[in-house]
Amino acid sequence: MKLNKLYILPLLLLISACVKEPVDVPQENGDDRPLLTILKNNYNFSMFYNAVQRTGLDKTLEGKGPFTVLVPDNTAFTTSGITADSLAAMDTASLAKLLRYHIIPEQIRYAAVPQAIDFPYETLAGLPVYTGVPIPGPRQFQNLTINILHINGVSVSKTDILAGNGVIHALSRVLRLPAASVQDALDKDPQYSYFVHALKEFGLWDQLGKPGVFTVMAPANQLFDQYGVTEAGLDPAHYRKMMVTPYIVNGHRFFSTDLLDAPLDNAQPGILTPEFLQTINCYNQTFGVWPLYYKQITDLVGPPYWGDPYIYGPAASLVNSDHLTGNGIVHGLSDLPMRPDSARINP
Amino acid sequence: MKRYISILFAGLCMAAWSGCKKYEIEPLVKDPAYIRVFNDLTSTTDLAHGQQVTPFLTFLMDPETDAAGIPVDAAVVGDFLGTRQLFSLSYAANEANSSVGNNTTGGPLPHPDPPNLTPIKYEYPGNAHVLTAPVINGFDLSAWAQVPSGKHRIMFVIRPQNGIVFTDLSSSIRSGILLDTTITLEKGEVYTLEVVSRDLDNGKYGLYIRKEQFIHQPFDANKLYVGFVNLSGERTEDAKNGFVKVFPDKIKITASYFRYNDPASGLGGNVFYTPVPGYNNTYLTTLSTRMDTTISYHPLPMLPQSDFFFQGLLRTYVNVMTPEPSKQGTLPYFKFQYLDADVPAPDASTGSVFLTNCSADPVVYNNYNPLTTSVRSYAPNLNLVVNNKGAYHVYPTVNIMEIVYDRVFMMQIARGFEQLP
Repeated sequence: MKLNKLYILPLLLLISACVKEPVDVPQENGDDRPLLTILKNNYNFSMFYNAVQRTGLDKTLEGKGPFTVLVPDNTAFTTSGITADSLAAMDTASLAKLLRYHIIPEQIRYAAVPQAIDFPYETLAGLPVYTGVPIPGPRQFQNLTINILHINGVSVSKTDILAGNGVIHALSRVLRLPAASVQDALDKDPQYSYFVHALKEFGLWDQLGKPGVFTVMAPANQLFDQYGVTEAGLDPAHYRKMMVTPYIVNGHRFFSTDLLDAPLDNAQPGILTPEFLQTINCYNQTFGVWPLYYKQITDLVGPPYWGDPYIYGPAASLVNSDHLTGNGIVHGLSDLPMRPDSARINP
Repeated sequence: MKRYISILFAGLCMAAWSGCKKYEIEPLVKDPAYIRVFNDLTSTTDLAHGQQVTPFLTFLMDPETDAAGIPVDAAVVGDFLGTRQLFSLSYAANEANSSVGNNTTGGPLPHPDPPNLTPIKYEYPGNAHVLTAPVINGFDLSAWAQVPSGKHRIMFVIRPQNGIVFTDLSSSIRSGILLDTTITLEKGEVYTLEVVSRDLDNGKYGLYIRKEQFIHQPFDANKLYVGFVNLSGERTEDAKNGFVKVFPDKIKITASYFRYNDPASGLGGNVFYTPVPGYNNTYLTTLSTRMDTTISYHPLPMLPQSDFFFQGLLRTYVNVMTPEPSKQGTLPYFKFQYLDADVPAPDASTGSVFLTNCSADPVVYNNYNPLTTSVRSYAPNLNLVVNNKGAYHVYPTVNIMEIVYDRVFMMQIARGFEQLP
């Protein structure tokens, strides 16, 4: 009889093995603190938090949401040339608009961002921000094991800080509110006044105010000064139109970060226009101008060019880049890929 | 006492019986049709080609959509569908292997490609656990999945290359629908579905459906067959400008059959192939239209078994990675040349033409990266070598060569496997 009782034990075990109920998977350990608490408790976000409080946007962020908040940390404010004092001095209405541009009224975690460059998300300011993530492929050399995310060409330093009513991505720079058009952005920036003058003289100015897609590589005044070119001298009487046409990349829009996120094929040095090849070297992060017959130059390792197709001027790096506008993007240049001598009309 | 034991025994039996049914068995498909799905997109988006998409898709058949029309789930989901491999068989061998991204051979020197740690499938069904097609007309078609015949809504969604399954993706990603169409599948028919680029410059894509005729056609048991089809879209501006080299619009195809010349080569000396008489750059066909849904199969000779062996040993495949000139193996192989039908001459500047040397080893062929190695000039041998019970036997095959812009996707349909060597 004692032995029989022992039989019951495996029987019970077997019966319990038969139950095939779905296993309760523990919920992901998310953070259910509200966004505001995270901003408040994180010293590194103190400037953003103070600004949010001053503009009354804390009422919005207290809401159910969900929100995606693009938070420039304190270092990002400093990098963008904004101190606590200058932030306090900003007028509340424009600060509120800037902050609204950092809030997207939906939850977008890193994994939810489509694998594309320049994917728009509407913000509370009514204007879109554009996300960019690395496009996988044989040309991609960024480390894809970490979450690389760019917003309007600004790197995200930390993705997916989860909150109860949304998610925070920490930015490494403050986003800039986009200008209405490329024309508007160039006009407002006094360092491009020579370039603006030249665009007007050569009849290229009007198109930059109209709908379309442009990426403008804007040379600053001091670059022209280096070559002894004056503002008044930039006109069709002294220079051919090729003095300015290479700087407008028509029909394409790309942030400086897209050069690494979505690099061009090695076989394709750049974008072909009817007059030039606008070269974009994605690894050196440079912009240049080649003639259309560049293959004849690169194939010939001898005089006069010794295989170097930069016959108009050197490749220039992008500086002061990623000024988003309603119809394109303005980047600055470190040098003139079209040297004034290459376009001068000889008397 | 005895009664207790019998009760215990009955209880034990009941427990064991109810414990048996752990998994549900997939119900049989009534009136099935058979489908195989490929992603033929060979280029991706970059800063100059924002209109193009990343070639990583989810295939949905009969999708369920939410109120906004965004697909949520589907009756058939083929997730993580990357660009297809250059070579595919008619049965699911090595279907989990990879060619782009995951390989360790042929990456840019000195480092191989970074490993791709996320899932990637090269076709549907591939290695998915679904019911597959039976043997039809003597062909092993286990790479085709059973689906109910009739009308079906087909959808392809652009998805990021990560490890998140389709149903967990965000709605903004799931709303990135590349194709949405309805097709009708006939009972018992074999279909190959391929996502193709119709016009890359304007970001237009389409679905190419081929109702396979080889299941209805008679094939000579002792002949190789090869058919060609051009699945390229419109010629791109990049191709016109010479940034990328693509197949011509009208393709004239010639065939050569090479046999290793043992006496002339000095056995291991300089490699020396001679063409089989009648197959030295012999005109085969001209493809003047794109996206043809019928394929004409050209019969090619099958050499006697002895030609595949030398002194009792199987001859060797080419090693694609070995530098010239010792690149060739010793097995007989076909070479197909693709010339521009309007200008039938080699490229003026380089003297080269598109060609396919069908001389590679099918087992390792897909491991080479088509973008960084010369593997696109090669294809696996048309003669299928099978080892059975320690002996090699060479079988004829039916081959479909699908030309997409700059490469040839080869689909080899095995036959004659029911014959004993």
